[in-house]
Amino acid sequence: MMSRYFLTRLAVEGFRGVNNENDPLDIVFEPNSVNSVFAVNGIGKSSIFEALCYAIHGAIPKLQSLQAQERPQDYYCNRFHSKNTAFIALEFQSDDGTAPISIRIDRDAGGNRTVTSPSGHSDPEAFLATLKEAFALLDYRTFARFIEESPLERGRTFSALLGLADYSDCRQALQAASDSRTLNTDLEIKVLTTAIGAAQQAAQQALVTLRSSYENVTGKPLEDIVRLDECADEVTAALGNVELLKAHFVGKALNDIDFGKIKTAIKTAEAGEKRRELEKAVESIAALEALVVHDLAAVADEQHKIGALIDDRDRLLVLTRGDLFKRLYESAREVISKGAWTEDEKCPLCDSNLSSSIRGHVDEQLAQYAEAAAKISEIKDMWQASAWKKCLSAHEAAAPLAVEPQARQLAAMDADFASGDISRDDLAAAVTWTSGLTGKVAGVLMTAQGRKEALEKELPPSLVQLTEQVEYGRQFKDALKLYRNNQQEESAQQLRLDVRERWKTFISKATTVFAEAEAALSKARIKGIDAEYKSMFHEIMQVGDVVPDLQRADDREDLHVQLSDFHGQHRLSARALLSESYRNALAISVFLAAALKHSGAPRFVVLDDVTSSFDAGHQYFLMELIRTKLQQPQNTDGLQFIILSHDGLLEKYFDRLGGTTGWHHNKLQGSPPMGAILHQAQGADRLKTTIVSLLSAGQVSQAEPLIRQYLEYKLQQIIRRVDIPVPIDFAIKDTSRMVSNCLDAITSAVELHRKAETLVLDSQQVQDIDTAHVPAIVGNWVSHYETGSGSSLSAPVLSGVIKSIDALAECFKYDDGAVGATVRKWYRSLSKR
Amino acid sequence: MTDQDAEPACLRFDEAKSFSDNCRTFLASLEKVDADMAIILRDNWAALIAVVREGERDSKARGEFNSKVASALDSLLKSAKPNGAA
Repeated sequence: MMSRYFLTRLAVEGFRGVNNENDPLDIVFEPNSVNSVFAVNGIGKSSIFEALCYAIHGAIPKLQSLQAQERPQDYYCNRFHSKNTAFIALEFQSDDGTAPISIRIDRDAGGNRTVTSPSGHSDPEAFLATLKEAFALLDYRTFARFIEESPLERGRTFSALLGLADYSDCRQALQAASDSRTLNTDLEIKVLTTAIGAAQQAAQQALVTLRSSYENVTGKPLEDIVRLDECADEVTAALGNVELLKAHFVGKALNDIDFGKIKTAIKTAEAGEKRRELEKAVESIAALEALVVHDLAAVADEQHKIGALIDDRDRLLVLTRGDLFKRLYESAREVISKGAWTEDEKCPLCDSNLSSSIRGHVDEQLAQYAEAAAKISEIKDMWQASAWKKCLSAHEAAAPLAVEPQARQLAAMDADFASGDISRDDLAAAVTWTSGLTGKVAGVLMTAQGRKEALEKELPPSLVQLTEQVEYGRQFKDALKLYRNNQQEESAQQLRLDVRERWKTFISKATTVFAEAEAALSKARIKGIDAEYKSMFHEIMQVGDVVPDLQRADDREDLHVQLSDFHGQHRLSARALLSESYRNALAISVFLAAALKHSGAPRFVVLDDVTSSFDAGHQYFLMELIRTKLQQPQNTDGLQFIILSHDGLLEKYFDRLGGTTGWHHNKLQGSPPMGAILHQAQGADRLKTTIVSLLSAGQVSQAEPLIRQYLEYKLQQIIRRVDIPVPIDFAIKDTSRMVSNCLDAITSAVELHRKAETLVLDSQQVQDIDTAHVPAIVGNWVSHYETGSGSSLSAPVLSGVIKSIDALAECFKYDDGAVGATVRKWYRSLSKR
Repeated sequence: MTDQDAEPACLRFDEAKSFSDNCRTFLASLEKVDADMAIILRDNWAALIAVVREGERDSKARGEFNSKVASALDSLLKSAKPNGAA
């Protein structure tokens, strides 16, 4: 059983909105309590959540979604921290008594992240990786997205929550790896097919030469190509029967015979220009006859097909709108697929409403580009594998046709086809060039044959025939080698193709097997939380006739959210019917039910502003659900909850429970992003010490935000301690006027009790409040700083304000000597000791 | 051994086991389908897992995985041939 961990402490400096240079924001969380952290807007609550995100996930989603040119890396560290560095320190306590773990994450000015463990954990980065569970850090966006997402995206998101993120990722990876289209490209299936075709064709051409040369040497047709070894022996034997050549052939295999040497021997036997000319004529005839084997009808057919493909390509290109728009559509697809734009029926450029899906439109446009690209690829592949290319190559290289190297067109055509830029005109020119060459063959062949016949008449018959026989022998030897090489090549490439096809079948089957097992596991997990999330939803929303239901598809990762009951109607769309608060309540119920079932390393859940869409009543029901049923140890299998909120009404609830058993409340105050953020538990004394120190050094502007924080803390302490009533809108009034709001509440309450003659304060205390402390605070702080006056007051004046607030607080205390030594105590209320 | 028509016994992941353990079971089950291919998949499992991370598909990683698979398939062919055969 693995250890699970509670988060017990977070310290932050220099990160996002938390400057706190040399004075880190330090918050303690209790494992056995619900931990609430309240801060009004702009006081750094989100920075706490982001610090945890960065610590555990290494990034902040909000910054990750920025474009590169916006330089997201420049916004991790607090921009007012003089060193532009940050650290986040975390402490964890295990739930099984193993040693606590402390982790420190530093980010230097260059954006480098370093993870260390002051407690000595051997692999702190690996420990943080174990905390990467989907439920550990939850924000409003995650909940809001849950219902709004497509069933597939929801299914994938939810798999993470069910602890099945690895399975979902793996399933998708297998799907990507078994996609036929990409597999054909990655495994070069088409290249192999082309290579096999080329080898087959080359072998067939070699076979034509084999047949003709064999017949010329032996005088009989080559009928059985399975017997090629025997045929080679027959060729050797036939040539070895000639007396002049015997020494070169007897006892040798065809492969070992040096035909060049034999020709030299014949030349030596009867040297002469005409004999060499005859030999050349025979070579030319053989070369020209080899050209005849090219199937010109097939070549013409290919030329026609390539022409049609070029037309198709041009038609498709006309439908697209050029590279600039292609980049636009690709960017749009990225924006949509990454979730940066979720309004599918609105244009992300101009916000105008669309009559159709923007995703569909972008996919359609990009599909047209893909079709055009596929067509270009098809043209290129067809050319590469074409008989035309081989025919042209052979004709340009054929010596009897005497095509000068600089006049050859093949290389230029290769380049045109490779670039995809070949036009109809280019094609027509290439066809004309090819026809010109092929058309010359018959004439040149006729001339060569005529010359050969003339020379045969002039030269001694025996040597003429001998020269021809030797040349045919050479041709047979070369063609046999070529034939076998190409057969081997074809066989090798076919094996490579076969084994790739075998892999395709295998990986496809593997994908199916995995997907079925993943779906079954996911369904089981969903079934396992069925009762819990339905019960939680009921408790939060207090309705019995709206019952949600999660349904996982059998063959896809789709997760459908339905209402099995909606005021008596059944199986309806939750997305269509539920209001935002109901949707979020459902999402929270599902998430929390899944989190409770989870047994991963984090045994804590941080909820950031998840109640934003709830009214006060539903907030209360949710908090009570967490407090009484989900928080450990009330629930022995429960979790530690850390709730971040800026909601003023929720703050009242936190305030009431703060300090009671099972609830630990933190309130953040301060002046980020430049000034420090502190929470009350960090102690007013520490705050006061810092203020005194800054004022002594004449650093008035640095002290001012802390003085405000100190004043707010002390005044709210008075309000809480002596139970002074405040207006209903107290917490949601302009927070920049919190000091005067507090003073108004205190003085009004004192005045009310005085008139009712129920005031417990002594007369000196009342007089000091009325004539000394409140006027001093109003005169030297409220009237200056809350009215937006530009200049600062002097350090001695501000020191006086600190003394006045401390003295004001003392006016609400008395010396209690009832039991033993005298103790200074707060009045219970304005009317009671 | 190859029997691409063989159906592995209906695979079920064990809730009590870790992802890694279940993956091992999955890979073992594939040996009944095609032992050679199952070995290649097992040997390149880490590269496959890199194809999708936290829901994000990485086409470069997919290309790298398929490239490794292609090399492994070629090696399989070479090892299947007798020494010196072309």
